[in-house]
Amino acid sequence: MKHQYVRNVMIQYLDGELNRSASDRIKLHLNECKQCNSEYRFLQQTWGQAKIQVFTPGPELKMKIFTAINQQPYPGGSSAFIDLLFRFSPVTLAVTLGLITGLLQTNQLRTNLNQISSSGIPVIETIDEIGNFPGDSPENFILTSTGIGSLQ
Amino acid sequence: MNLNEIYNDYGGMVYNLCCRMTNREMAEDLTQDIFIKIHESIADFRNESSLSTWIYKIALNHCLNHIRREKLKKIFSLDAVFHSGVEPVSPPSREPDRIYETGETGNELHSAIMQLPTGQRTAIILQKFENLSVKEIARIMEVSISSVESRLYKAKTNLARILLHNNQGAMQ
Repeated sequence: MKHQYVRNVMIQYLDGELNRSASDRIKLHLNECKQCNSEYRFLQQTWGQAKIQVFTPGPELKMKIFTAINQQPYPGGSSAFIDLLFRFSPVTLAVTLGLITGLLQTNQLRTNLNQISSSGIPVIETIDEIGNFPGDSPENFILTSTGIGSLQ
Repeated sequence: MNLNEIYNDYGGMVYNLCCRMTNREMAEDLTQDIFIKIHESIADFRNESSLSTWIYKIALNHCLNHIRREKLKKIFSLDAVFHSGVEPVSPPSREPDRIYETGETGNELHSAIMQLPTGQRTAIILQKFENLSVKEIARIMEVSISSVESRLYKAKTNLARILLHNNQGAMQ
């Protein structure tokens, strides 16, 4: 048996991962070859370190982690907000955007109404929830790019 | 399960994994980043895998990203040195992963593991130190079982070569 092959599979042999035939041949070779036997013992000792090697975090690490988490403005910061946005379906997103646009348009409408009132054109105070103007039917008014004006 | 309980149950595991994938100096910062990620994404956990597998995945991805960043930093810093015409203090290593060796002194096994390619390193750490089965390792690494077995076999062959080579060097 070649020495190099034995060296290559020594750890697999230590871990009992070789088949019986290969394992028996390695065992035989290790009994006969002093050099390989010496290397095997070294690997046996070194590889054995793996089982006992455990790292323990200091108690201050937990404090450090929780302090860092508590200092965040909200979980995830901006990346979490973006993740949340992408988690919505396209339909939900479209509805949300539609609502936002609607709100902005209502505000623009109010601004325009105020501009009309200050320019001497008859004042319209409020608009009800479905878009009608109090005391008047909507047909009496036109909606222009600059605001709402009376037809009269 | 709140974050405090998660830390109590898995803090040691994450810290150990970070120590083994990188070094003890980096492990604290990496553990902190990983727990911040866990805190941010705990709502995404859907019980499709065990909590420990989910945490292992997050921890491992974070460590691998860190290793990639460090490799790039090393490459660019060496590039800068060569372009500036200043002689580097020590010759560049052929394997960027070797930068971690200096972080852990007196541990020949850790040094040898650090010289393995990241795929083999990850597989061997999860099997040998974390005592995970091949099936669990495959789930965490998101590769097939045969791929994990192949990586483990290669990792053990390479480790034997590295350890014996280093030992011969030390004996001379």
